[in-house]
Amino acid sequence: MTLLKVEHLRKEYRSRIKNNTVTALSDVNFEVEEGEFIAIMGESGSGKSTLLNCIATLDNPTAGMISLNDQDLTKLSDKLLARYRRDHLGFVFQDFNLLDTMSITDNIYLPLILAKNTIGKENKLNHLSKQLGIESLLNKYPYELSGGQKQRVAIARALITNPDILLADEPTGALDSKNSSEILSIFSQYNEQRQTILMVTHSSLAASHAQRVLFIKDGKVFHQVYRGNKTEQEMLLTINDAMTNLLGGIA
Amino acid sequence: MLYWKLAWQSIVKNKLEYLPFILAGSAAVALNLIIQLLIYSKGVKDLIASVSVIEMLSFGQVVICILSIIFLIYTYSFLSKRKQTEFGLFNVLGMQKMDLIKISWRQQLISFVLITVLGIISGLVFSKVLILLFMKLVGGNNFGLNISGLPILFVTIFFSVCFLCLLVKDVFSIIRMKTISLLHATKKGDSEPKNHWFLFILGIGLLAGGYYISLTVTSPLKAITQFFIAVLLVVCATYLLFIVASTIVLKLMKQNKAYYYQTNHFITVSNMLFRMKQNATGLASVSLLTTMALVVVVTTVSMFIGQEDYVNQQFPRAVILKKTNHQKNSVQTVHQLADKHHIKIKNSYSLEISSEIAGYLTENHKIQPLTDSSATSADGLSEIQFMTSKQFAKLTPSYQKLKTNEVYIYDRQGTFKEPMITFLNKTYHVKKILKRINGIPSEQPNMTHSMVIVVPSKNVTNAMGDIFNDLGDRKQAITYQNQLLFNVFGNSKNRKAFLKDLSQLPNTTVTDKFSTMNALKEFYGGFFFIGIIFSISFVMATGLIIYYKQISEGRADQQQFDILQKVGMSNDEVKRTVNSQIIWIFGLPIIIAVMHLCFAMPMIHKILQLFGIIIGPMVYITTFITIISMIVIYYLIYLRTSKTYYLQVSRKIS
Ligand SMILES: Nc1ncnc2c1ncn2[C@@H]1O[C@H](COP(=O)(O)OP(=O)(O)O)[C@@H](O)[C@H]1O
Ligand SMILES: [Mg+2]
Repeated sequence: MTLLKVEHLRKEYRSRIKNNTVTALSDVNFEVEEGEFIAIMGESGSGKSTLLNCIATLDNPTAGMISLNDQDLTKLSDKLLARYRRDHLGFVFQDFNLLDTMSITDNIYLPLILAKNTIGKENKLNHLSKQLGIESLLNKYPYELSGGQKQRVAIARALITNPDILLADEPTGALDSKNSSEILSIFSQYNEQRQTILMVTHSSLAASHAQRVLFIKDGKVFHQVYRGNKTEQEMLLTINDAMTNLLGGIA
Repeated sequence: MLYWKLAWQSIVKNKLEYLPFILAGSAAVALNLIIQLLIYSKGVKDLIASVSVIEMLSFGQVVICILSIIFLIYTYSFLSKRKQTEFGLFNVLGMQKMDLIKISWRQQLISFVLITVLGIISGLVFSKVLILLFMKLVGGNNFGLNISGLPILFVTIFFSVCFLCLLVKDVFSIIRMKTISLLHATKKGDSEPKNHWFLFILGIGLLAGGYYISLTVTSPLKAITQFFIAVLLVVCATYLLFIVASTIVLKLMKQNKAYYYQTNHFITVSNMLFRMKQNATGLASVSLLTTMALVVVVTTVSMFIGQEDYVNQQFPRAVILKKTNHQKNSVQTVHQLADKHHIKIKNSYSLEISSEIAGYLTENHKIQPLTDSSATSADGLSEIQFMTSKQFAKLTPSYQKLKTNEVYIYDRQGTFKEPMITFLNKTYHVKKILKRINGIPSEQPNMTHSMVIVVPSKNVTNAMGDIFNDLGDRKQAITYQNQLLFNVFGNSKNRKAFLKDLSQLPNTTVTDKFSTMNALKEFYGGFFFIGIIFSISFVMATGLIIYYKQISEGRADQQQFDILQKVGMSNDEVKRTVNSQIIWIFGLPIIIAVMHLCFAMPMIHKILQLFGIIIGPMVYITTFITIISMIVIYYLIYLRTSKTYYLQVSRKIS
């Protein structure tokens, strides 16, 4: 079943000082099926974050349509958008975005509490923290954690509401290679449990964990690669090939 | 030219910090200038009590000067933090420290010129209004201001010295600057504050101590010394409690899971826990400044309003003639003089009351002569006047006859409660303790206990003068003096001439309500004016402190609210959270200040008694109005602050 649909998405930034516009996305079209793990790749400045922010409703598209479960997100009011974000979407960011004033437990509870959906929160927390190996960290504060640990906490926070789709913007961008591969295998694990994931990255190694990779350039989806039943190694080679051939090499 | 441009750009870029700094600075300049102009004005020189009024204004000037300096330095520290990061960047981009200093002094010069010019202009404009207010309050009638260069010069020099200090401070911080540490404005994790139960209990103890002293103070004289102890205790307690109690309360809230894990409370409580740690001392200072403003208003208003009551009590009639010997006032002579000056005399009556004797009231209600040792302690000291029952009957229609061993007692302080009183080796039964005696003028206010004893006849007091001497060494026989009291009607010129003639009568002292009232009005009016200026500056200062704190926090909290919004907080919810956080920061000091004021009231009451002033309903009304207007002012600053804060932390969706 199609979960997310992006049609003719266009995003322009108008700078206020000089009267010129930057077209970050010109015409983006793609669909995401339920249970897919998709990576979006592109050069720095190619509009990956812009695309993700539009899907995340953190940014308003200039034109086009984004729908999740047949609900057009571009037509919702601010209040409904906020509710939509916390009920249906989960986020993981490059810089973790944890609140320093709250303990790890409270950081993970945050979306549930904002949604006034606190029944059974302890069970959900236990379950997730066991899976992510962060049980011993629950009473600490974010500033006491390493980057990899913070990102696990951020994943727990994103998943505690059982989101329809998990959105991740360069989730391994601030991590060393060991922590990166751990986070990516966590993504793969959850994907095996049919969690839909949309990840933006400029690293082909990260993208190689996905089932499908979309390449964007000049504000458009330029090309895509399916993993099929390739191993991660083979997928990595395919991605690198695609980049050298199609984009002129960026890795 | 480049330096000027960079300096100006930096000011414009940081206008959120610069604008209030410049406004507050101008207000400080204006206030200083206005007081200077008043001191040099013709109207003030023409006042009867001009010397003491000028002294009072000069005192006000000194306080305002000190406040201005503290305030400029405080607000500038916020600016300076912003500037440091900017200068760090310039430094990385290849500017030398010398270049930065060149930018810095230009900025300092620009803000100095802006502040003094704005301040002097607004000072001159508002001085016209304020001299009207001032003269109304002190009852003067010359509203002219002679605007000379001297006050302007003074203000300009004073503030250029202030800015020179700021510049020196700037130069030092540039010289000490380390580039790396500036660029990475170190955002080290703030650990959760700990509970300090010992300090909490200490704080509660100090507060209770301070309040207890105020509630139990008995004599006005003791009130003054104890006032300082109480203030000291309360000041310490306020700081301690803001620092410790806030953490304890918030942690208790946090431990109550059912309460804590509600959408409204969750973010507010966890934020406030960290916020209070940074804000505790600031908020405590704000509370104390607010309390100070309220106390100043209460006392000055009480004095200003109370003076009339007080004069009225001293003068049951407008003029009092007192014979200094045993003779009676000649009513006929007075009437003749009145006719001569076209003055009408009405409601006149005469009364006879003894001169005051000073005695010592023992535990077993005995009046004893003063000894050297008892005279030095205030306890038990009492000034006593006698009045015959015959005289008393004239003043009080529902008079009940006294037996030879009975007296009435009118105690001005209301502390005498004994059934018996003994003097000159004879014990009298106190038939009644009177609340007042109609028609007798009250005495000059002072710290000693004083009472009037109504005795069956003059004979019982004859021996008084021989044993009891006045506080000084001169022996004085007790005399019953005749007083003539009357109201006068006529124009003020005639009245003055009439009073002058009266004072020439032999063995007579004349006191009149009009001149007493005028002198007092000038004094208390000046006092009141200074009080208003002080409270305005206190309130302005506190409002600005909060504003700056919030703005700098808003910048720090930007990221936090960004995260919250990404996770699913709507703009409305952000607004509500921001408001509920900031309202605490504004509301708490007012609540604390009002609480402090309530507990200080008994003490203020006692101290004002020293000045012969009783706190009446008018004072409560003005206090109430002051609190309300303070809340309104704070509310306006609050609206401004929460709006700016909200704009800083909310996501700007393009
Ligand atoms: N808030 C903004 N205002 C103006 N231009 C922006 C804004 N955000 C992004 N851009 C521009 O849009 C383009 C795409 O940016 P982004 O989506 O962040 O790229 P990526 O994440 O792929 O590196 C860039 O050219 C960037 O300069
Ligand atoms: Mg990006």
